[in-house]
Amino acid sequence: MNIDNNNYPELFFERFLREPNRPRQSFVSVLGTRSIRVSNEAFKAALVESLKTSGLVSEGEAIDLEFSYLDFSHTLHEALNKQKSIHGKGGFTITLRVGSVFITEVFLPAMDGNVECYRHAQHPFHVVFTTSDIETADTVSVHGALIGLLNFKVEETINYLKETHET
Amino acid sequence: MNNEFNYAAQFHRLFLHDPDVALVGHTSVMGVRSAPVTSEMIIAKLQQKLVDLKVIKAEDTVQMELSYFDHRYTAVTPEKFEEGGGMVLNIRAGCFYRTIQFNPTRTHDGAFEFWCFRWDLLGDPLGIKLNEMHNTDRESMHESIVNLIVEYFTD
Repeated sequence: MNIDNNNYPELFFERFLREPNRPRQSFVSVLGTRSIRVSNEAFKAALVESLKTSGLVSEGEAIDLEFSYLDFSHTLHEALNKQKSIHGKGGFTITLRVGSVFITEVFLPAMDGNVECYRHAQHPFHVVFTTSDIETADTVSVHGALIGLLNFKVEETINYLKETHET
Repeated sequence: MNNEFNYAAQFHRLFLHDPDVALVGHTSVMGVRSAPVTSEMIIAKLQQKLVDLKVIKAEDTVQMELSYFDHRYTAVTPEKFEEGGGMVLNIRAGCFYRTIQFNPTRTHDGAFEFWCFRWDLLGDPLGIKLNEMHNTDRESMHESIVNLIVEYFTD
């Protein structure tokens, strides 16, 4: 498959979240947003292990992950297709379901050329991937950063649900 | 299918969809629904503001879609589904593209809301109260959403 190196979300998915040689299960929305199921077994296994360690997933509960981004091959805009910088390209989204809990995290391009995930001010949690990271970082460290963030968000959501049910 | 408890679907239907227009949504393999924004009023308002601010040209098109987890395609219980995940608004204007995330939260008085937080914006985040959604004026909601989107395109 021909990967456009300027399309950093696609490159990110291929490098870190796709199981090598496994067919991609994906669809493209009317707007051109492509959603792909995360298939990387090492990542999913490490995430489940982390969630188990934190007591956030029960035995037998399924997890499912999806990665979304604007697929430039489905846009008619030449300027967007040719854009060298990652500015203005929209970032990517990871959606995770753990049992009956689901969460969404958005990674947005920053002015310095990196892609970042910020939580809101009350819960500062910051994950940054530089353009260089996306091309060269080792898989384990990227998986570790993603797992830390997702673990944090699942815990926060479960606590929120518990508080809600108690009130 | 009764979708009343799905606040994101409800938000889409109330503020982002024109009932006279056919709704052509897509649902991903995992159950994430991407529903196009069909309200010509909000699209026109956003387009005009972006043109006035010289972000896009008058001939550039503006498209939006709302993504949210759709319980009909999962084993997730409706009760928990309602409260968990939030929603994402994707906007394309000319050759620019933005993603805005809305997180669910609950206020001290127990009302359910979902908010768009921006860590780098000084202004108030956009908050929409679920229990007031049906009483919120469509035009003023459009104004709030458009102002938020414009901030994303101009900062």
